[in-house]
Amino acid sequence: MTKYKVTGGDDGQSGIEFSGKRYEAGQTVEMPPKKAEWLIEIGILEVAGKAASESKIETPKAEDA
Amino acid sequence: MPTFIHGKGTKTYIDEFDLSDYFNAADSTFSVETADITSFGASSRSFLPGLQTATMGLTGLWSADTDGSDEELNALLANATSPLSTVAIQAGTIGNKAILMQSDELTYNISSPVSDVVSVSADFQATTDGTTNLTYSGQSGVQLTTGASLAFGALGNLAGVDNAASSANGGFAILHVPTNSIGGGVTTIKVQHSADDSTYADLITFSTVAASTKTSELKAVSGTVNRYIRATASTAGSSGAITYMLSFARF
Repeated sequence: MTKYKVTGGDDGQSGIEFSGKRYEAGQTVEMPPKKAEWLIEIGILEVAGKAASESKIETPKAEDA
Repeated sequence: MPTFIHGKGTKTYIDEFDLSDYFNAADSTFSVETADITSFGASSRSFLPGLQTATMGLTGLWSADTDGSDEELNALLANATSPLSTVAIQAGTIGNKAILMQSDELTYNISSPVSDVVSVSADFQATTDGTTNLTYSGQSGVQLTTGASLAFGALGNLAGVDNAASSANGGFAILHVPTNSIGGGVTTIKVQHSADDSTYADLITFSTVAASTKTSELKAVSGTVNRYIRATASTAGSSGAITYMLSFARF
């Protein structure tokens, strides 16, 4: 099971229903990656912590000439 | 042998009104303009399909009832807001055909013959009217509700409708709420889609329906619409019931 964050989709407010439970934008849901594939494709789910880990990646500094 | 459908089960909704009791025929026509591209040397004409359009004709019985055929058809003529209509064929079963249209009323006719009942007819012309994501304003779709009254405690997910495959060009939904006695809170109605009929994601969220308020709304979306779609509703209300007809058409 992988943790995913509900992004809210295009309008930022869309949620999902998984295993009979509702998850609103901003909440985290755990589900098998196979089940999450199409939800990631339509942009309503993203791997939890993805945004945070991306922001931690430092941009290489341009070397002084 | 083909399966045929009797017309007696048809229901007709315009804006926040269920006018089924007033009409006895609904005719929808979908057409496409063609440009003649026949050139010298051809033996028969060739045409290039162009813009699509749709029209609807309603025929029925005249009535001076409040919210009846005369009051509503009169009000819609030259109305600044294009009315929303749904013709539900064999209504009452989720997944059955619906014809959804945003259109302008072009004509309203009252016929009063000496030897027959007073009758009405009206013609409508579909219009996209600049509505966001509304590629086509008249389209065949599916019914996502039965149109039956649901008590405030009985709202929830309705059955999914299987399109056999996803589609890529968006679509639009029309919501009619002709009766609503839910008190104590708003009601939220959505269209959801799914790739597996198990996990569903919100596709369209309509404006919240205020307590004891009748309403109608069209919303269109672009992009992927997955294989299954369904209606879902929830309410913060604590009493009463609501009737809503919700249909969706893919582009």
